[in-house]
Amino acid sequence: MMVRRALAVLTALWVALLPLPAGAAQWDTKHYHGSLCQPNNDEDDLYRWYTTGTRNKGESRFAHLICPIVRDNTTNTNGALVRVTVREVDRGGWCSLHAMAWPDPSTVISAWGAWEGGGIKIVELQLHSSFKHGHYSLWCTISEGSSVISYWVAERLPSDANN
Amino acid sequence: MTLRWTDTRHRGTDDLVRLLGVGALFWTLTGCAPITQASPGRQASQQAMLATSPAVAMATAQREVDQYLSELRDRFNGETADPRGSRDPTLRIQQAFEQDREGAPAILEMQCRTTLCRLRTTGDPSDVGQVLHRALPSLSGHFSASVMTQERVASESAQTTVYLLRKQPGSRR
Repeated sequence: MMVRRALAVLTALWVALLPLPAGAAQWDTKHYHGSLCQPNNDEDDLYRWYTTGTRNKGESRFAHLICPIVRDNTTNTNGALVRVTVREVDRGGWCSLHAMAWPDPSTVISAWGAWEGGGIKIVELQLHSSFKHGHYSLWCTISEGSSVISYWVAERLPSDANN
Repeated sequence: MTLRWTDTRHRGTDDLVRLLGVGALFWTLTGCAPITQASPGRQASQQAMLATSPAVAMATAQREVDQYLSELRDRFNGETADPRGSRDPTLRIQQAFEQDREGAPAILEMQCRTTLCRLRTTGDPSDVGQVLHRALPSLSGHFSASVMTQERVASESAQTTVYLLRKQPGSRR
């Protein structure tokens, strides 16, 4: 009985640690409200902002959103990790995370992620490269009735050995 | 600047529970939250940026971007052609551009190799990025990431080169 319980605890710990990015990285994390996301469709009335985030109130259209990210570590070249929490009604959606170069933003590194089905979804986008002094941008496309609830951004700290 | 690629994963509600578990575990073991204020290291790097003239900072940054793109070109050129495995991804990319709105960028050339596909298009990276984002549901089964850059061409019209990282069979990447 004790052995089974110990095994269960160890398994639970192992499962809990699975989502951590590999290596002894040190992260600076921030969590943004989905209402920061800005519309990128032609019609502004497709959107509503709630305490639960930005919602697509259309009936049969995908809404395109651009969500701002404040870059704190402006010099690292090993990217960032973003987890977007969405409330999906049914049709699914997708996000892409972009690291733009500076001074010319016409060089862009992008990571892609999509989800299917209804419910609360978390899509993880990880950029393993970024440009010194460049900026990040998050684009999401959500189906009718769905919302971007929030998005969590982790940047590597300058003190990180992998930085 | 070393060339690195990206990893995207889709997580469900179970993973949220795991994430909360990680947070609780971290808090318990270390007694502190994994959130930090501006560190001395970051302040130093920001001070260094302010102390550098804009022209020097721009030149240094541009050199690093050029080096990154050069490494990417070398990697693509070092890979072997993959005519059989590239049929489906090539088709998906062609459909993405053909089915986009009128006036969307057009494909000039596309080649797929072992881990990368290279696409040359008309238009600037902003327009090409929009096409790729809109087509992401049909592309995300084949590709997990991209690097785009505007070509410096002699003519007036802009051209964009895109390197797409192919998902390997059996990999979530």
